[in-house]
Amino acid sequence: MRFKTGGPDRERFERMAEDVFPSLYGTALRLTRSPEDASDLSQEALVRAYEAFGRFDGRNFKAWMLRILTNLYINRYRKLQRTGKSASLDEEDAAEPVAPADEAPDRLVFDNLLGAEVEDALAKVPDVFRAAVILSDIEGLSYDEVAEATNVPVGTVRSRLARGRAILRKELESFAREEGYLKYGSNE
Amino acid sequence: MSDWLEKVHAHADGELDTRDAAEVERLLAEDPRAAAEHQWAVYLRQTLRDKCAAPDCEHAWKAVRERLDAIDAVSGSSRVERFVGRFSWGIATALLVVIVAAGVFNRSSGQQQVSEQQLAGLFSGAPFTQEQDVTGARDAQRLMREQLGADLPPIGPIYQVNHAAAGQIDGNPFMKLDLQDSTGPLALFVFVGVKSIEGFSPVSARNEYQERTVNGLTCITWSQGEVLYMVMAPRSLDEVIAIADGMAR
Repeated sequence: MRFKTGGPDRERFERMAEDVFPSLYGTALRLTRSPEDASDLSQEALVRAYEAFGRFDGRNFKAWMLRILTNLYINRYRKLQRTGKSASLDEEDAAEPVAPADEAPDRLVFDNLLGAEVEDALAKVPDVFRAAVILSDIEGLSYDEVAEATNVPVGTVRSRLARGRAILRKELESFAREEGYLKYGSNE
Repeated sequence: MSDWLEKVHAHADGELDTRDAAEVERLLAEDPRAAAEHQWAVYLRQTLRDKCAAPDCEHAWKAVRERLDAIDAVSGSSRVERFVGRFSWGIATALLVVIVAAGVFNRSSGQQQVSEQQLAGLFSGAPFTQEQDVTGARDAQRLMREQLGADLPPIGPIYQVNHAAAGQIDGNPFMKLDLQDSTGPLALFVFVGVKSIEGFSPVSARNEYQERTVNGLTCITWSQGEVLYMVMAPRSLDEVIAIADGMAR
């Protein structure tokens, strides 16, 4: 069935899209780290979704939208990579393995962090891991949905999440030390 | 990264089946590093959800709606284009049939009847769009050919032509000539594309003529081809029929 643009279909799409748009734009912003690029990416994703609305299976609209957006981002990122304008997407190059935690987090220390500080730490996580963390931890997608959105097997999602969180933890600890929330030498 | 770490994170996310979950729970109870990693996974997930709020995106949403409007506008016109493209032969044929039918209809029923109201307008001079003084029958004939493409009936030297006026009734052209003979003034109307005038009735024993009295004036009409003539004068019916006889020869 082909989706007919305009009319009741437009209203239905717009209602659903408006509900998930903050998530969509937020994900685009966290992936691109640029408000302009985020605006472009989220718009492009919505336009593509609108044109393909007839193929939406009616289950999880947010997951479907995030899949379109992430795929767009990955394709664009790969193009940039081919032209040498961006860093490697290769997972082995992206980050050294991070050692597992020796101690449980000191919630009192990290709870003082502001949203902007957490966002900054997240921005330092390499793309492939950051995408998995954003989709799973912020947007609440299941591993299967993250796998579909990023076109990788579930096992890869599991690996990326564990590594992405480890890198994020390291960044947060580093930030907490710089700000004096955490003493040097502790949590090492 | 080792498999046990990934399983610890998957357990924190509720993504393990019963068997793997039981295995990780044993590990958490035995290994403090695994327990710390598990707590970190839960803590980071919660921190990200709590601290990473949805950014302001009103401007971007507005832009999205504008783009959807643009898509709707384009797809609306392209739907029309697709329809026209697909059925172009059918549409062209249908149009041709309509044009031919309209032409046939015009030829068969294009001649109209002048209504009572339009007749009254002729007396008040309302439908005239062009008026001019005329000097002689030759001048009147030239004007009639120009305006109507019709010939002036033979009026001979009996009538003096004083004035001409032209106009249209329902798109059909007509002319009025003010004439004068030895008895007095009279008027000759020439209509093209008009079949009859409302309210006229046949003259007994002279079926080629129709007659009616309007405002004390006797009016006689007759047709020649697609042209309808009407003479009106403040005279008797017989006198006006005599005038018509002279013109309709």
